Amino acid sequence: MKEIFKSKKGISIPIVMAVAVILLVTGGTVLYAASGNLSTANEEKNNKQAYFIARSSLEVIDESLQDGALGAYIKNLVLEDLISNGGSQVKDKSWGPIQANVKFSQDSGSSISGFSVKNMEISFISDAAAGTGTGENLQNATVSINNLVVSFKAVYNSRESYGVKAKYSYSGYANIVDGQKTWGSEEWTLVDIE
Amino acid sequence: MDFGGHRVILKKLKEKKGELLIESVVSFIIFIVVLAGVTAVVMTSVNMNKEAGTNAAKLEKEIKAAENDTVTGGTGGIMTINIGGKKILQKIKIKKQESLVYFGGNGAETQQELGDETMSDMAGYFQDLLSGSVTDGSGNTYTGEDIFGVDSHEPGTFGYEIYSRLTGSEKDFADDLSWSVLGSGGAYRIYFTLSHYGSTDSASNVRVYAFDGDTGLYRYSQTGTEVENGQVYDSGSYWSAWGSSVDEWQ
Repeated sequence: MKEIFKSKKGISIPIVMAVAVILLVTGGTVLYAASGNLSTANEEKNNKQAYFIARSSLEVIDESLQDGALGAYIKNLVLEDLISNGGSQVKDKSWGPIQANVKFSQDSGSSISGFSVKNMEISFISDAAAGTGTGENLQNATVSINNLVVSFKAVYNSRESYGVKAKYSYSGYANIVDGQKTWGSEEWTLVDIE
Repeated sequence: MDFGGHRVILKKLKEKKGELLIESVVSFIIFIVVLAGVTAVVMTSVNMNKEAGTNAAKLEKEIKAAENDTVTGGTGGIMTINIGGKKILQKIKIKKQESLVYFGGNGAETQQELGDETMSDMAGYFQDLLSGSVTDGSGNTYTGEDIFGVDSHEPGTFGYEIYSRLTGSEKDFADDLSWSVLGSGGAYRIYFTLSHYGSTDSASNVRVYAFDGDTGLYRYSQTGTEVENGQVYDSGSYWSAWGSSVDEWQ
């Protein structure tokens, strides 16, 4: 046995094998680090895409809220509630969370692949009071909305997601004649975005 | 000539019986193979790193461009928000900055605009059927039969030839209600209900919107229309006056 260990025969192969192992481990480590860098870069791109979906969606929601049908829907909820309450003041009423589904389509007919907005919810607290009149003929019905929170999750490729929470407040008044509403002195304020 | 040195080497080699040579050759081959493999791995890694760097730099540029909205043009689309049973349609302009897609508001599209557009486009596509420029997919030209939206998802029907040409938002609009194209000869009318009736649904006294193909005018009934198995028939009553738009869209 001692003879075998003392003998120098065949020593070069273990040495080369040892060097090979060191080289392979070093090469593997370098490859692992490089692939990590590449996947981080790709992940970063997908995360940014999710961010842009969130940002774009919020821009459109903001437009619809401050100057469109979404804002009108919310204001009318409060106003209808005031009407059904006989015009008596409704204070600090909590609404929601009201669930909403969001869908995108292109004019070409095809859907926008990889895009989705999920878990959209709206909640708010309202104050409403009428100056004069009753039923469908309220005059100077003031509506204020506080803590209106719009939240949703923008998702890209069903994997990367970006959560958004935007807080708004609103004040305005409506004159209602035979059910026809005319709004005035309206002001929407974007309070905060998280 | 002296062959003394040569003989010494030969002798030494014979003493080792070729072991040293074989061992050296094997070691050398192993080393070369491993070295080639590791070199390939390192080269791949360098390329991957370079690609990662290029991608990161490219992404940064794309982000800046998208943030500043430097892309002109874009594709039109609709963002639909369904909330509390109400459908809100917001026009969007979809833009692509290299690999990043983003969009912005493009004004609201009212139900009235979308309803008018859908009916008007349906009328245009129906004219194509009347003229024979569009067939049912099997080469058959339109011979005057009624067309019902409830059948329009089936390729090979005249309804499909109309429906499949609508834009994405118009298709969504048409899917949310029931429609038909009724008429005889060259005269025809398009009817829309307020809500969707499936192939097994029937109802009476349904309110309906109508478009007249001859005049291009719209009107609506207060009640009276019949729906049988999702097929809308013209039997409305209490019609409004004809107008250039339906201002009573749901």
